[in-house]
Amino acid sequence: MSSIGFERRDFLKAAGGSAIVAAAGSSRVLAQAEDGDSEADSGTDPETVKTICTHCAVGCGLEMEVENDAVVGLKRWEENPVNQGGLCSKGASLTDTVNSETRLKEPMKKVDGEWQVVSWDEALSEVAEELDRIREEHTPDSVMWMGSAKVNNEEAYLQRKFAAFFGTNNIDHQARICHSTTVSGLANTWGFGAQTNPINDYRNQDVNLIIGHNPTESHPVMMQYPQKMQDNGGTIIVAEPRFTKTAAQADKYVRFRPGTDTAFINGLLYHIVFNLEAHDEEFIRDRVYGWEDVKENLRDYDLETVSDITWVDVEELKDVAETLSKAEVSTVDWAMGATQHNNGVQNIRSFATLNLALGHSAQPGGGLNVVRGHDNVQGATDLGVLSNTLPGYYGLGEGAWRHWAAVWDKTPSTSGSTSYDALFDRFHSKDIMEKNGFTVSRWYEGAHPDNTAGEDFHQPDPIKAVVIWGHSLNSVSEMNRMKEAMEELELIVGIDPYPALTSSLPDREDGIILLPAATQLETKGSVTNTHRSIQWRDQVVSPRHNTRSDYEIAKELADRLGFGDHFDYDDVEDVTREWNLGMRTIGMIGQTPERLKAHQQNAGLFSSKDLKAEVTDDHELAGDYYGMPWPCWHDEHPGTPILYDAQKHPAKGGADFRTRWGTEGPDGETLIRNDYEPEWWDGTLEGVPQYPMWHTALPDPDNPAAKTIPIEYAEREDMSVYDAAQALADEGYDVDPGEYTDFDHAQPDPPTGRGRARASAWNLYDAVPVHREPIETPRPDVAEDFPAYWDMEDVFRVNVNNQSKQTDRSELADSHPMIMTTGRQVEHTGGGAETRNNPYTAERAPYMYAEINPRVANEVGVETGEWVTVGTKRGTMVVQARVTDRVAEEEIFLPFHWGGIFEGESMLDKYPDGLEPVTIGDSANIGTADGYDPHTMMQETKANLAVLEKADPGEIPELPEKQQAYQEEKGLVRRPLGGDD
Amino acid sequence: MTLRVVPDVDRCIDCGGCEVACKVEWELGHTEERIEVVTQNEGREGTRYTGGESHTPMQCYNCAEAPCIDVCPTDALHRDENDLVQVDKDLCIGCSYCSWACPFGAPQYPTEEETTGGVGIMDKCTTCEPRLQEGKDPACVETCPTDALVFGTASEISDEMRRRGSDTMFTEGEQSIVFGTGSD
Repeated sequence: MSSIGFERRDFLKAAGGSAIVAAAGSSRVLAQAEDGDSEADSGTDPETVKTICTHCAVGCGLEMEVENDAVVGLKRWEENPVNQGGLCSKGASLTDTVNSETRLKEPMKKVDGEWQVVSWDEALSEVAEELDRIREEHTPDSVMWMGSAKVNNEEAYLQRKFAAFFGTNNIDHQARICHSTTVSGLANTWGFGAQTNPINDYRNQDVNLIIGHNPTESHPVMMQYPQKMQDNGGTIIVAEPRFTKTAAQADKYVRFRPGTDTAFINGLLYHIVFNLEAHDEEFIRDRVYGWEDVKENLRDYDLETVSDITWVDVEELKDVAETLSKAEVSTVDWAMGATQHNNGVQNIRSFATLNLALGHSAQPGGGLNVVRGHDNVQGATDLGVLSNTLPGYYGLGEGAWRHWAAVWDKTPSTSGSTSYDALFDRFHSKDIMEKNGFTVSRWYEGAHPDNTAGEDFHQPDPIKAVVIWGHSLNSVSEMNRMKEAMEELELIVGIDPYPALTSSLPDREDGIILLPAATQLETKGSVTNTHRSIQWRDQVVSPRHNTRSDYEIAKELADRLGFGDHFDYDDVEDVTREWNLGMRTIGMIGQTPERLKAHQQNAGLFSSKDLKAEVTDDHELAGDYYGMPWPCWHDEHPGTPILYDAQKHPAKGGADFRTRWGTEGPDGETLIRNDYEPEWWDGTLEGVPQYPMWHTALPDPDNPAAKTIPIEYAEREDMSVYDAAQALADEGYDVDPGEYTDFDHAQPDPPTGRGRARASAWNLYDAVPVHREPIETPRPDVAEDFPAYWDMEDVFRVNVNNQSKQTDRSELADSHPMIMTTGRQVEHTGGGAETRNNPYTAERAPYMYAEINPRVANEVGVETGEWVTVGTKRGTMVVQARVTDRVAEEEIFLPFHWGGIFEGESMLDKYPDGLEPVTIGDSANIGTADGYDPHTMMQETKANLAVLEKADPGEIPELPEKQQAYQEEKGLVRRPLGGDD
Repeated sequence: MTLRVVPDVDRCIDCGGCEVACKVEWELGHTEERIEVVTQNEGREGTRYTGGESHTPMQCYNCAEAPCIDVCPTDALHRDENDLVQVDKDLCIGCSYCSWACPFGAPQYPTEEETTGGVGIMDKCTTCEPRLQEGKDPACVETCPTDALVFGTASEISDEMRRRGSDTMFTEGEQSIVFGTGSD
């Protein structure tokens, strides 16, 4: 069998077959295998429950083994077409997440410096009373809500809805500091801000440029697909400041200076466009807007200039550009390494420009693969746990509020009635109701003692309380300022399975209440993976100890705050049906609870090559793609595996670039695509605008996934956009068919139209991608030509002073000569609360470290395991050295998963007794930089200046005993010979 | 017909799935490493064969010409009825000869019990023998997301490696120890 057709599932079947055949040689095994009573044995096998790993966004399926409502083990779920059974160290250790001894087991309250156990009733009542008091004494905006990418879609949706009824936009979650720049960069290019192709589609790539992503550590299980692509003759290029484990898997590696991504890509484009003339003129002519602006901009990026900025040789730049230009189809693949910069949006726009220029977008093996971090960060983003939008990217304008008021009024899932006016009354003012709220990256500015309302932050009153509902504080930069702000607050509420840094970061005697949340294995609901497939998690066991699901907590708290009639769901599935009704924009419509469960139960019927159901035409799943990747426009739509793929019928998962910005740009150039003649259609298809009211017309609320007029007419072959407008007008909707007379060609379309990708986006700070130096740079001379963004006031309610900081720090490299960057370890997730408490992952990666090049280590005089200090303008971390060739001599790398030590001081005594983390370490984000991308308030963590020194013995913090034992086992520390006990 | 788990070094990404799956399956503590991924030439460009970074999951290969069995003074090491190399812990005296004989570092001494040799009772990969009895693959093989662990008989392994175009990680000498003299 050729390797092209060979899947992991097939490999395991073959291996399993061999085991049986070979084992048959043993008489004992043979006897057992043929024993007619073997059912008695299988009867004792534990029950298994299907779930999705709660760590990263690959969305690996697995089956938990359950006995007497307890998790006793796990089984690989080989039928799942996403991971085909494979798991990494985190997924394989999930048993001990549920069964952890250091979980938060009871509601707790800090009183006079001591942690006390309190009842749920007491804790919830006190939280509600205090929040109500603060709401009354100040404004609803005096409470900050940090929601979560670690809860399921239903719970994420409830978090956003909760903030709306509380009357504030001060709600945000991890996506802010994860892929906010991706969402903004891509949505502004071609309509949606999400990964375009499934990870299963990697096999079809010819070249994959991986930049700022280390999938072998962050998304290990997906690596089977890049490897498949290499088997098929494809080429992986890793461009990255650090030689990662992924670089070790690559065919080509390019090291570049941190923070110069846009310059690097522009250099490649310069060579492709001006020297090789290898750009795809036909694709650009038919489907792209603003190409001339790109060309004009590229003239600033000749190869010598780019080489000087990026520290990449001209020959290497040419080589990468030539490899890309020779590819039949290519993709760019990135994560935090590309997004967390002060010009993150432009980095992402440069990747999109490259993809469009080569004509590799919107097809198998192409597009852009933005791999999301947390298990449900795509879902929580879609459901709008963000301070700049309601669910579904509707924004915060009056139209958005009117849409969601209608949904919340009409849904049969809850008993309450509401209206735009009723919601308006919950807010301080119309201005505040339509204004972006604080973000997780800067919320603390609203509470910091140095700051004044109206000057340093921009809302009527300061923040007085924060509800940290599934968020690790050590993933946020400027931790010293956040800590200082938290010490000013009147109330801190932590809702989490672990006490985490919420319990230990602020120095305070009281005013912290911890509510023990159940893990996602103890509840049910849907979860959206990185490529938009939605999978259903069954509840594995009931919540352990005295914990409750986030769904239950939301209901209880809403009830106590007086809007329980909008949260009185009978079941989690009713929440799913409610978002089916409201999530029109991105087509989270057809993924009904019934269909999601059918996909879960029949996962083995879906192809792991393209996710399509491999069934006969009369099967109920015929045509479906696994998990119905959004957009899925109605209850018979199959989902859209590849965004903007115009080579499929829209009823069969096809699409096109959105006509999101009208039919004409400000320069008068068209924004609708040129006519084309696809193979699947007999005749010509024309470019069209978005269908009228496609995202606001609601179906019968009792049948939320039914087709509305615009959705039905878009899909129909015998109807035009004009016909849809006419039908809406006939039904009494406020639509003028006269506006659509130019679009009366009967043809099947996606409801989002057939438009053009914007290579030039007039509404961004830079219409085309411009390199902007990090605010802390070893090359102040480059910053003069390519400065950070100008200072801005009142962006997400704070000020952004990138350029003045950059100017002030032009000589910082003299005292802080190293470039510090951050990233992940395969054993840990996010802030590490789970994985540093799980014995299996904790022992495998038992220390916080700074990676240092051997020559630098030699100069400083340290070996692996010995202690160093890493100092920046924000703070000084005391960590162990890890001496390695992964980093260049100019660079230091820190993983960001660590907490429990703060600038060398152990915080263990601040955790509730018995719930101290198994392993602790200083937090990288104490030191990361205070530059921000003003488009989204993304923090600039990947390019900082630092100074490295050997730690004094007196500075070295004490580690927990188990952690010391793990380190000893790994040979990181040695006890004196002969023992000391 | 001896079954063994053999690494495909081109595919291992050091995710640790195999290590954790093994520990969860057999409830092993942190000093017990029946399989462990070893990294070579970290941070260096190139392939395993040109001095570049590579990762190798190491465990017991049930060698055809098992040196550990040859040197074991108490016959604690032996072949079971399925031809798998196993240790009889009641017979092991902790002399650690096997650790010197094994070219692959499979023998481990996780306990600190008093033994003649003073290093504790030997422990190693069992090839998940009880799982094989149930018709399942070893836990590590089932878990590995990149199929970097190939399980089967000598000919099945060599067929699979040939299908993939993967090179063996064994030197010629190691090859004859693992698969027997005259193997390909």
